[in-house]
Amino acid sequence: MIEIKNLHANIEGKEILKGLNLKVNAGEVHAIMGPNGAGKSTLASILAGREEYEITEGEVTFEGSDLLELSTEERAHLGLFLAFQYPVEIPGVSNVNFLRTAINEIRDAKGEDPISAKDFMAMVREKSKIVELDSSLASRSVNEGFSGGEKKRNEIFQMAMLNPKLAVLDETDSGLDIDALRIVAKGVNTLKSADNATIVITHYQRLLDYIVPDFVHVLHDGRIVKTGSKELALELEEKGYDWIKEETQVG
Amino acid sequence: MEDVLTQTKFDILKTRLTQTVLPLSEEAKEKAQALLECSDFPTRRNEAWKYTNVNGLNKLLLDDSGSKSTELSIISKNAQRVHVVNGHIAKDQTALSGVKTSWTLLPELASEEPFDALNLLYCTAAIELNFDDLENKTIELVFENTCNSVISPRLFINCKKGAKGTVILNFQGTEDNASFINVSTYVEVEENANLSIHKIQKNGINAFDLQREYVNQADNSTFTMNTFPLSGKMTRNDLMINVNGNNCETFMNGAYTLKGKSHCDNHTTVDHKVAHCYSKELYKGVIDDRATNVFNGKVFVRKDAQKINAFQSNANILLSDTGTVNSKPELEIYADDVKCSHGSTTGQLDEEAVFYLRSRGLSEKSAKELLVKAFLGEVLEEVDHDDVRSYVEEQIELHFSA
Repeated sequence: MIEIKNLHANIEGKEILKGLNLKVNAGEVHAIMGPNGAGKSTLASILAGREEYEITEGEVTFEGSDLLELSTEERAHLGLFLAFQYPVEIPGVSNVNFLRTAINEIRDAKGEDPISAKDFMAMVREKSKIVELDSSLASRSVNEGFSGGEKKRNEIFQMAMLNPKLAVLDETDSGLDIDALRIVAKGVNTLKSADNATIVITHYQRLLDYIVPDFVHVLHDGRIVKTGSKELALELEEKGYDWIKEETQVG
Repeated sequence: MEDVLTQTKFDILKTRLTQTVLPLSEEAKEKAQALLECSDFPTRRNEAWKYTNVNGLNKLLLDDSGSKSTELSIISKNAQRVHVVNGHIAKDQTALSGVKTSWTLLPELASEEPFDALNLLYCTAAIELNFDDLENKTIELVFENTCNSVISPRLFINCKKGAKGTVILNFQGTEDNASFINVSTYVEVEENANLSIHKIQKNGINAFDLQREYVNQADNSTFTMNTFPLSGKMTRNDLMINVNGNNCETFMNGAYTLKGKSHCDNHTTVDHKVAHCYSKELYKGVIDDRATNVFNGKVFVRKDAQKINAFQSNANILLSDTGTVNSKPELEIYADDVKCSHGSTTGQLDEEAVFYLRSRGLSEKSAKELLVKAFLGEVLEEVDHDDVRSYVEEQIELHFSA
């Protein structure tokens, strides 16, 4: 699915990623955890194609393509999806209108015909149920006036509509109460299949009670310093990140 | 030699214009001529023209040569229509009720504006529209500009006591048209009347379009002016509304899309002379390439005009690094029990929103188009005429696909 090799990246001259390696196969859920400033959100941003980062070394292969050569929209066309940590409010642009444009541009890139209005609306009804999103929210302006929980549910709703191969959830649990967390996690689990994969970026272990990962990686100082099973997340929750930092320094 | 030294830019322009054949009284003619003789083109020193330079007018050929033919649109299929072709009223039209196109004497000049005097002296068409019932009929004046000519219509719009009416002023120029369009519109909205004017300025890319609307509102009347400068080299609109009556409502909306080297200037004045009135103004536009935009909105609230609610807003989005906006909201309030606000913003498209949309698969172009449409959509929501709204929406879309 995706393979990241020796990725180095700077922002404004400061090195954030310092040789990151990660391989994710279809059907897998990977969690990336780590202390503040470790480079978690930088990784998500680079995968989605944010232009303010400078890649100095390394490569990323996604579905056989050199990801770093592709524009943000081309990555989406290939099936990459980023659930934003801070979803953007866009007044005047309706959720459904923009999703229909997105779906049709993805279809167009694949040489497929545009979706019919009827099929599209049926899909909106079906997918909004997955995250218990009121269908009136679907027709409102994108994220405008949405609560924190509604914004995150809207991210997963969009993910359901676009049906990506690889979803990167950037701190999707931040700002969520326990009920919203459960709904979001249920959405992600429902969408999970043998053909797609998920990277869950999170600061806390809490989300991983609901979205059970196959692998847990610890990101520290721009590198993945430890990889383990879901038990690693529990250990981190209990002990914090300091022991990892010490272990890394010793190593 | 002396002649050359004393020659004004108006004198130069006049040599290429043909005096009107419409009936003018000697007095009216003299008054207009006198005004022109003591005037010259406005310069930067004139505050109202600080950012708008009309010297290019004297470079227009105005030789009635044809310009590249392109399709010209009619806005409303259901409207009663009057066609004005290259400035002149088309001959083979059936007479419409409430529309007067033949005159025994044109009304005199009522302003001190030299371009209004020019409009009168070189008038190519005079049209009076009268609304006297509640039918709310729509009259569309279609100005088809296919030659590089002087288009100098003088319009009189009267919405009688208790009547309701809609006017579409539809200026359509062929793509590379280089006409000089100079329009004066006098509007009377009588007691309890409700008038809406929708103005579309879809001019050729080399055309100069200078327009003035002089509006009077009587007690309990409602007046709406929607202005859509869509194309043209130079567009200047002066909207002057005297709210003379109590309990009036006044709505002014504008949406503009500028690109290339076009220049657009919207000056509006609302003069609240008496109490208990409401006015709301919303102008929004996008500026691309090297285009320049000027907005100047003035609201007067006179000493005895208490309980006035006046709101004004102008917002601009620059799509290039080389576009320019000069926006100046002005409030002059002499009453003490009023609620007034004004705001002006100029910025770029929200880059974070563009990235968000692109991350969902939209190309950069469609992401920007979607955001611009949403931005201008706020103005279009104020337009209660479906044909006008959908025409402008279509034009905004075309603006981006071109």
